[in-house]
Amino acid sequence: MKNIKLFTIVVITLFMANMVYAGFASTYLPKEDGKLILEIEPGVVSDYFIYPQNLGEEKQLIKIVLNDPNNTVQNLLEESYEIMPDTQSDEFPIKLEIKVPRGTLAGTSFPVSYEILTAEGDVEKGLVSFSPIGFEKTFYIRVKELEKNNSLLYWIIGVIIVLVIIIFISYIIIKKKSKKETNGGTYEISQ
Amino acid sequence: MKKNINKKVISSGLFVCLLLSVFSFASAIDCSGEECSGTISLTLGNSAPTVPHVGSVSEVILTGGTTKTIYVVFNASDSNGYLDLDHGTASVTLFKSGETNRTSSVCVAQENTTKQTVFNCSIEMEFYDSAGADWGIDATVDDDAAETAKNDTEVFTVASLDFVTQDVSVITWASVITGTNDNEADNSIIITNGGNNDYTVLNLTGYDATYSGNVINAENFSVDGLTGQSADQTYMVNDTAVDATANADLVGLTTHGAAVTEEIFFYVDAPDALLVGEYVQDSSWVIKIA
Repeated sequence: MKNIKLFTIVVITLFMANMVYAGFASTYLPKEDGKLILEIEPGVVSDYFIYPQNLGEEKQLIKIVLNDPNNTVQNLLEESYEIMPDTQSDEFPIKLEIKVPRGTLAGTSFPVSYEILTAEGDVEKGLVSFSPIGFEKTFYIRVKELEKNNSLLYWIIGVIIVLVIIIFISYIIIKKKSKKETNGGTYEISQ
Repeated sequence: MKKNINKKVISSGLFVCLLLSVFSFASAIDCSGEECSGTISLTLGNSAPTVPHVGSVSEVILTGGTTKTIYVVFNASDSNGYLDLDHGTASVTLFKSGETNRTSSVCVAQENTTKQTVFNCSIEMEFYDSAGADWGIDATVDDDAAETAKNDTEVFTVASLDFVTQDVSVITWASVITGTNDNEADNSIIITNGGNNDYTVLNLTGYDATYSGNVINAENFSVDGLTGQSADQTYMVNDTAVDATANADLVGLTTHGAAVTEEIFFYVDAPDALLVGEYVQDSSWVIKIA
């Protein structure tokens, strides 16, 4: 007897994240050892920008998930951002105001990362329609030394020098005057 | 004594006459009447033009997958007057080490004063021009004597651009026979680097596909950088990011350029005894690039 094997044909459909023409630009940061570095002065606010773009035909609703354990970002971000079609270049700037406390040691480094996701999809299950999909970017805030303001110091030194010169000249004048009075002064001789 | 005086007077008179005769002879050669004719030749040297000022350019934010027009304004000066500048030669080139130079397509003379012209030049930058704070501006113009003025002291910054697109969002197998392996999907996905960054990570997160209680595990799906594969694909793990670049045929978007793409092919090993039907993944698969 001949064995007959039965085959079943199935259809499989996998949905990948929706096709979109979207992405984002961001402030240029130099790289050191492969890490993006944002150098800031302690106590001074520095701005970092994210510029979402949408070259598709439908609006995109995105959200920015910030991972900032040291609370360096001072401003609150919106719950979501609506990126209209044909949003290009720097037409939609999102600002991060970054600051570290005054007195933070120079060279101290703080990581900040952000993820750009769709605000419409189910992120938990990975439905992300913003491209790059679930894109995460990390940069490091590094504290630089405060630039010393030497001008005040120069002013003080200048004033001291001028005072010294004035005192010295005054002293000379007074000394000469008293000498003159001693040697060439007129004396009344009463008889 | 009187004789001596006469002698002196006579000799002085003779001397004056001699002088007058000489002058009259000389003037007879060059002049007629009171007007003298002559040729005076005066040659003025050309003054080389200069480019004393190039306007600053704020950080350039490129647009994903396309070009971006940059405008650079510069002043050109010429002591011989602005008309001595050859306006048609005005040009701006944007340059960076290791990058293709971007040269202006057009420069417009937007203002002319006595000795100066203000040019406004437009330059197209590409989405893949590298980010950096060391882009230079080289502004030049010639004068009518073909002397060139140049100023390349100004620099500007190009921002980072992350822009990755995929061509399709759905992968389908219109018919798969159960109990067969390495079934290639009907279509692939092409991801394109439309920005100026390089990426080291290309992760795929897959999920089980189900139909009426029947499951095709994520572990049955695999990816490869080539079509027609029957070995060495990279297999998925349910709800777990898998490094696709572990596959020798998948490099990822490790560079940026005019056409940097990665094509991903999908395969499935279909288990035996599956119900007929359309199997759909539990969650959308995720491609992560970083």
